[in-house]
Amino acid sequence: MAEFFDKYGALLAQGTVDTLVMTILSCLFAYVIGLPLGIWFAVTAPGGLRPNRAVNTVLGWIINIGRSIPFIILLVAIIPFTRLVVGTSLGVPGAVVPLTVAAAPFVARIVEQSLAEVDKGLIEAAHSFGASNFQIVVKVMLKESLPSLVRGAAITFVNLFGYSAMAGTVGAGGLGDIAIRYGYQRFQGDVMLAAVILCVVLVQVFQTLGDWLARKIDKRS
Amino acid sequence: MIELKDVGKVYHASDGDHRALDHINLKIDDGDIFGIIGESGAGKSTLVRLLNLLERPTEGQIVIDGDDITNYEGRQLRELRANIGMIFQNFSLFQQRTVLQNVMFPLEVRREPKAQNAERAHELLRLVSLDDKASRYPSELSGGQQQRVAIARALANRPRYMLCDEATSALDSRTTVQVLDLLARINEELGVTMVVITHSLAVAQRICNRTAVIDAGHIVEVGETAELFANPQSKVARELLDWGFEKAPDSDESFSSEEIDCSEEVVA
Repeated sequence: MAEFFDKYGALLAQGTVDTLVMTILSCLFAYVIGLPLGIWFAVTAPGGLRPNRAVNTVLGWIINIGRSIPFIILLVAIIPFTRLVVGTSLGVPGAVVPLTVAAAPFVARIVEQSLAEVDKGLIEAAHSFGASNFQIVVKVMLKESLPSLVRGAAITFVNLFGYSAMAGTVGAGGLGDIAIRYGYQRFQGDVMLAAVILCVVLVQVFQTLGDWLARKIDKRS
Repeated sequence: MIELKDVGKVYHASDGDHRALDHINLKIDDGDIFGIIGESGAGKSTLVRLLNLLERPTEGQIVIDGDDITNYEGRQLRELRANIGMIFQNFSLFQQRTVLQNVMFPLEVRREPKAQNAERAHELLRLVSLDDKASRYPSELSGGQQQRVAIARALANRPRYMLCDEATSALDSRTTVQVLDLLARINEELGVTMVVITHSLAVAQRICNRTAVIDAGHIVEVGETAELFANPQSKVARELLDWGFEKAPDSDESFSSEEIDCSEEVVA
């Protein structure tokens, strides 16, 4: 056991750091793009704050196309774009770009779902007090759906955590990459197992944290 | 004063047009508690939503204090709405805000100075006898308490008018009486003109000085409440009267014997 950790401890630690950096950065950027997109999508929906069928349809297409492309294809297909943005298609920076592009439409969709759950009566009440549409988005829709948004963020984070394993194919490292290289390609079952256990534990921790936070901020019951 | 002149509302749907309101002419005087009574689907909810333009009329004019507001937009519309408080059947309190933050909401959206907002909100909560619940969340309150918070919130901008959309329909009869008496007191002491939408005769009889009966998008009868129900001219009014006596004798009785517990002085 001690021998195993002497030999692979540093590797696994580096893998954990790489995975977390990739996941956290791409999650952050996915929200920078996906959150406004999701709000726009919800606001222009039929029965929304400012219904606009044309805009809503186009947004729907973009979001659905983005969500339907398999990640491993996307990863390779946008390599020129990735180079343009971060100057390389390799390593952690090379992985964060495709991860962000893959997750942003997913984020837009779950944000839209969360916002759609907000009681229409609350929006009507806010209108009746003279709130502007912008104020209603910020002070009513986002505020009232915050627990749901947090749950969505936890799901996004865990999904990205899983996707980041595939980013190993562009040399970004990470726990998933270690599991594949050592376990799948070199038949070192013990390293693979250690990497997988770390993945399971980390996912459990983040999901539990997300659920706990969502419950804590929810004042409905 | 609120005047509706030949107001109509038509909804356009894929299966054809649906006329919700037709040639509505009404005059609501300052200081009135004006009842609009009718069965569900008669158009009363649509009618009250025209007064603060939550719904737009498709015909006619709405005049408030001499100004034709029918086509108000943007800033002008938001100013108008600040002068018309509204309460709802399901209270529509913001669940993720405390009672105090709920009452402050209308002030917050008007960008009033923050410090004064809290002071004003506490003042309003004292008016509805709920200042001790200021830091609670709506889910921790009973229905009657929630509606009293909603009333405090509706009064935040010192409106001249208040719209009550089936405000007591989700409450039991005892709580209904408390809320109605609170509304009557606000009308009397703060001079807020009220428009009360209800399907309940007992509600109209308890607080409305004037009442209009609406049926299938038409106003079929308007008058002093007592007179109207002593001598109903329309079929609908007679039906409401029969219904009131046959089906809700309990609530009628309890309506006259209850005392409201919100007895603090008016500070607004």
